[in-house]
Amino acid sequence: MSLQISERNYAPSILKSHEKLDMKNVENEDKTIIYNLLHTLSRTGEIIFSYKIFPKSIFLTLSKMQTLDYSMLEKMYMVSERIENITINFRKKNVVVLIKKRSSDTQVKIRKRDICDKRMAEASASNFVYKNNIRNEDKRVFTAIIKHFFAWTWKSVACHIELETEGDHYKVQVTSLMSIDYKKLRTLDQMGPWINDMHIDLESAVLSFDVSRTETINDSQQPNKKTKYI
Amino acid sequence: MQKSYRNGWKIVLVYRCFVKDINMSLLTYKYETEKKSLDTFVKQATARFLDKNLDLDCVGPLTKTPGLLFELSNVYETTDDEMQQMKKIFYDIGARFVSMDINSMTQTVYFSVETQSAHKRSFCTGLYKCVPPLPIVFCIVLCLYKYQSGTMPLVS
Repeated sequence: MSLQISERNYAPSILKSHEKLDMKNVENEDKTIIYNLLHTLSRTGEIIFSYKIFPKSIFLTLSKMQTLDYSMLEKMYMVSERIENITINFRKKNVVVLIKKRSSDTQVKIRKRDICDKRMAEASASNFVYKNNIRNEDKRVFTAIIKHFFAWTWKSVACHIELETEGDHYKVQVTSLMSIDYKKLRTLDQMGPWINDMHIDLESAVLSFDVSRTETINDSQQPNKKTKYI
Repeated sequence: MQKSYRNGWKIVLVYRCFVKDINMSLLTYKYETEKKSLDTFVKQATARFLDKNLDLDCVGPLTKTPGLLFELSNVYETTDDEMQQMKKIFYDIGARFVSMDINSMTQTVYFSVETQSAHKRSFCTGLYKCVPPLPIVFCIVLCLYKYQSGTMPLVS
């Protein structure tokens, strides 16, 4: 039988000690993780949090958040090695952090079979790219990006993509997403240096990012070196 | 517009005008052909659920097959019979396949409903299957020609 406790609390802007947070039935170590997470987020504004305790995990739900950056998600993920995943729920407009409890017994992991038909997803992605006005040089990148979104929404609701272009600089806005987690965003980020400024707007349920294949000369922060030509 | 300054001198003025190019859903089928039937399906389903005092919400079209995802929120207690009855409503309207997903964390039930495709295949669509491959056609033509001219090696 699982023990389920749900509690609602306001996270103050500056938290000095986790003892102040009245969290019943939460072990001290878990309390510290929750406190550190809230402290990381407290700079962004007021947050409402609630949690549910299960025998092997804790689900920490953070609501009343309006915007989130990928860098902030990274910071949250790095708080503890026991943070399994961070899910952004666009429908409920909240963020759910899955904290695994420390257990001595070795767990047997059952790998789930891929739900997505990879060939069909790739074909649909390339069809999407070729139908639209994307430069030949950028088609491969966009096929890879859109293939990911096809895979993530395969048996769910189709997401909506808005794309604004200026040369080879693209502004991508993804709407109608039900949820997305940190690990998925990480795969998107790890695709290459051309994906940047990943931003999540929970209020309007939009995931936005820039895709740029070139660097502007003025953006580079390298010091100027004077060269003498003889 | 981007401005950059160097040693107090304005050197570059870049005007960034983004052109809205793409605004579409990621679907593996043609939504335009299915739109009408999906809209009527949503109307029928919501009306049937409202008759039972249940507020059904349509989330959007499914990615893989023509169909819709429905959401029933604030479900705190339910039985297997009730869930089967809800499924039956979708089948009565004309759903091809209904799958159910219960999210106990958010007290929400999701119904993934695959509908019959409105796109009807034309008479000529399957005709290409009756045509044999080109090399075989060539062989048949050659055999007929040789048979007519009497030089068929097999027929003596």
